[in-house]
Amino acid sequence: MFAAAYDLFWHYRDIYLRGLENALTAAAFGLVLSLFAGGLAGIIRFSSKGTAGRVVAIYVSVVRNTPMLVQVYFIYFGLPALGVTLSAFATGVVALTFNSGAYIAEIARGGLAAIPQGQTEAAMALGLSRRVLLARVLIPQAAPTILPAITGQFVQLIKDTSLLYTIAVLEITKAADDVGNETYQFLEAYLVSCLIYVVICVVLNLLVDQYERRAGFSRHRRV
Amino acid sequence: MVLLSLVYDAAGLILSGMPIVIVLTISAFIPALALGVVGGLMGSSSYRLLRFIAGLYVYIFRSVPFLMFIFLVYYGLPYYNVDIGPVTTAIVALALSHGAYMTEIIRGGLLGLDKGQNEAAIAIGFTLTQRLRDIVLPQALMAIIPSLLGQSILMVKDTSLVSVVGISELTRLGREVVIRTNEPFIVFTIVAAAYFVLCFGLEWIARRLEARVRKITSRQ
Repeated sequence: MFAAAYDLFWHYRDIYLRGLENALTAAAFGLVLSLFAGGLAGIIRFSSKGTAGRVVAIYVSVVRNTPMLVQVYFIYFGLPALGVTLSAFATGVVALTFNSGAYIAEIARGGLAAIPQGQTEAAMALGLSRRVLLARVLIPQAAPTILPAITGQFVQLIKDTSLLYTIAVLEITKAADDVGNETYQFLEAYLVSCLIYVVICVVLNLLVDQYERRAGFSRHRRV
Repeated sequence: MVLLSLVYDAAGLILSGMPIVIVLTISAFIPALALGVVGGLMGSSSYRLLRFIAGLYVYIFRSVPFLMFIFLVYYGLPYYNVDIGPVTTAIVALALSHGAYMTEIIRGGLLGLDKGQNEAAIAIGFTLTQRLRDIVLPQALMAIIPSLLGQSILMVKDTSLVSVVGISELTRLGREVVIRTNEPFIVFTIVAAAYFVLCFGLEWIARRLEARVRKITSRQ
């Protein structure tokens, strides 16, 4: 079975590699954009007790309590009714950003909340403004500690690109489907894609381990 | 008025997909929990081989997307002449995948349990089965009930993916209603709201249980 899968991979490597490329591109775009959006949302949630904080809380709750597939469908099929029409790939990036932004917001908020209260109090005593407190004291301390969790989120993003299969973006799952439809060797075709996902995960996890060993963080933050 | 009746009709149709979501979740939760208990015991055992097997199980299922895994089960089982139909396929896939997450949760619960409990049970001559049934598992499981409920939220969300093997659950019904009504915005809002109610309800229960469990465990 594995030998047949390998033959299949070698014969259709172009499709698989294009799928891999698209998945990684979408996940990378999603990660960068959701780092900005989620980071900002996390900071708002952490520092605002008013309307802004509540809006972020609702956003996080909606994302966490609805399946990502429904979010993808909503953006792909629902938004054109409001005059926003996106290509399949753009839908993927937007959906990944929207989804992962909420999780990153929670990670960022957790990282900020984990900093000892004394830091804020000391900064206040020194007369730093709230903006400087965030930019110079809290964020620089939170950033390195949440990095492993962010890498975990990147693994999650790559896994989530599989949902773009449902709107016909050629990513790793769709590649298997295409190859299966061409050869009728569905099991082997899917097995190849499975192994691609596992390899990506192994590589990313090794990178995280490397980072943690160097930075000397405990592993318990890993998602 | 037209809009209102449309919402009403669409909601009725879509909500008829709600029971299958609940049935899928419950019927996959039980075997997943069983797998999680076995995996968790293996993962926290003192035998390296058992720990390795449990670790591998968790690793693989954490790296492969669930959608991919459904396809693998769906196309893989007939390859071994196992014909179980789409619903059972979905339950098997859900159970295997979430069993891996539950393995991690239960392993954490078991490792978090005071070692003295097990040692005391050995000292007064309990057998392995007695120790697990009467001492270790009740305490470990009690502490992780909220996490297990949290996992069930993920399970509800993952049921949306089994539409790819042709099960008419909430999400698929939503798509069918869109084809009929051509109102994707309204329909998917209703679908999302239905999932939200289910998941938010579970989250609420989990949070309340967490407070109770904390009260109980702090009393011990």
